[in-house]
Amino acid sequence: MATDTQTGPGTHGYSDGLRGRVAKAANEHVVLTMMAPALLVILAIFIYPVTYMVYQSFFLAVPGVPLRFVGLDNYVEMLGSSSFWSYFGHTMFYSFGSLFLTVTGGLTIALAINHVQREYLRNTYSTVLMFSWAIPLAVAALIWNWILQGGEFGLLNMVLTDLGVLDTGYAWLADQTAALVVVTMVDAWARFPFAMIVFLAGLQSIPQHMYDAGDVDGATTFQAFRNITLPYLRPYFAIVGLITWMFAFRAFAVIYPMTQGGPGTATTTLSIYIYRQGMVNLQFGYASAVATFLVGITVIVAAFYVTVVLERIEE
Amino acid sequence: MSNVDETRTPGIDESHERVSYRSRQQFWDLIESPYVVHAVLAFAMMTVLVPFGWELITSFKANSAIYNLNYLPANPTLQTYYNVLIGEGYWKAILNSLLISTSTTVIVLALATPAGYAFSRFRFRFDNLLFIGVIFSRLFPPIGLVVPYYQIMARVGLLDDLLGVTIAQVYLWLPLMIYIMRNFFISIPEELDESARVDGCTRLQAFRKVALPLARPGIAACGILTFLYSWREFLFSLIVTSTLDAMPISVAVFKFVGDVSVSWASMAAASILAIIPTVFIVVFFQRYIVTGLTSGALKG
Repeated sequence: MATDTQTGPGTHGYSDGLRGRVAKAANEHVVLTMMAPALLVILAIFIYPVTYMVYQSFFLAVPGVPLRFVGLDNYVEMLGSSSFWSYFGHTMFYSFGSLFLTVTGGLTIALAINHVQREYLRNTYSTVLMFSWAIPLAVAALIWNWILQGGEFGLLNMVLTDLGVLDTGYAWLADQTAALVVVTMVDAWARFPFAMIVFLAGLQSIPQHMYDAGDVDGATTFQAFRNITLPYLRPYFAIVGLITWMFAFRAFAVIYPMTQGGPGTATTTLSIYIYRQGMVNLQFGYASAVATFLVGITVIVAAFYVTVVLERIEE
Repeated sequence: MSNVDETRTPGIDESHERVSYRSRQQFWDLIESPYVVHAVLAFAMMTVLVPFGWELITSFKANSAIYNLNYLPANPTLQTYYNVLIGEGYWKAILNSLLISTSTTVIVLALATPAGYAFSRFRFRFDNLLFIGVIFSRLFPPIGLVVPYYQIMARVGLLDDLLGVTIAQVYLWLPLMIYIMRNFFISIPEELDESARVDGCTRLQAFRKVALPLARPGIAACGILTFLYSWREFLFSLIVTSTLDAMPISVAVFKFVGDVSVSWASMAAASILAIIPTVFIVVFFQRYIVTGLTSGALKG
């Protein structure tokens, strides 16, 4: 960027040397100069691997064997496999469960913080509540893994047995149903601060005079919430919802450190399945087909997101 | 919210309606009362602070003392931290994390700032298409690229290499930061650039001398977010690294989970070490994180 330092502001003259000529060319193609580095990097480290993924999904790709074109075989195998659909079901439960908990939790907390009058208290609350989002996801998963340990050693079981709720410790992560519910809750635990922050921004964008006018008209608190707060928050719901769902749909870093997809396959989502097929069983082609499926669904939802976000420009 | 004027509907016929109106309002006043508000927030704080506190307490226990069924350590010790940092060599993982996050931040900022500026100021062929492409690459599920990244890194010899992890991190955060930088530049009035141009600045000078200094808060927000995101990252660091030569702390914590048993105290100490910088960043730079997150999510 320092190519045009020889000419100060106030002159359009470029020096005759090489630096002057480079500066002149850079200014004539200013868009190219500023965009090309970033776009070339994205091309090399994003577009190329994506293409490679889609390409490979049509091949039998395992290490040590030459690539063999198999057409749609990987997709046919995937769609015909009952375990794939069971993992898809886990993914749907996980993503929609996390979406529900994140949005309700994030909104409740944002409304509560918005009611706190003192500035320093508001800041303290929102800072501390951001911790669960800010820490590494794997650490969040391991913290809860430790709390939920079976036997009597996990904190939850220690507390529950001491309180007399349980006689012996319960193996939370060894139970097929409980494990899926638990990883979903931990996912929402790490995700709700994002929703909280966005909803807080939304609540602060509502002009106070709307509520004053509601008061004059004799609106109850609930009516004010339904007729003023909710309509104002609608685009925020759309954005938080779409982002949360997309990110939970692909989530890996909570489930893998907690259960590695187990017990059995009870918490195996599509992400865990891709990892296991690709990185453990080394079925590169098949894993790429599952990945392409997951990407395809995300692209459809992302298109909704782009529509919502771009609509906001026109407002 | 102030009390609602309850005299607005005089008249005998509506007395029944007024009772239910008032009791419903009382219910909502209760919901809005400071007691309920602070109770909700106190509960939320507990779900965050209790796990953190338990992890901290565990980290002061010895691995052998984990199964004593005491809440507090009988003999608090820093030995576990020493064992993790020196004995297991986890100081390297922390150093790796620092190197990866810092270089990712520098590279991403250097690429995203001019690109974001160009998107905010210039109309050019395919500009909308390219911009939508940037949003899509930000929303793309990284799990889909795990297999290709592993294969490509193996082919170019960057497996278990700091450079390999950094490249993956740049892919993960560059599109989002281009997007956020563009939004920051849009909020800076274009007239300032134009008056600089009238004064004889070239386009690049207008960017460097006028827009860039004004975008400093935005650059700070992007830098802090990129650092935090790459510090937290798990998936690609897991794929690309296999030893402490390049493994960041976010993956290294997981290494205490063995096939048969887990060294819970060691894992807790490593987790606390991984948590400290993130808590520090949130406490001191919360404002920047909030601006970056809302700008990254909301603006079109």
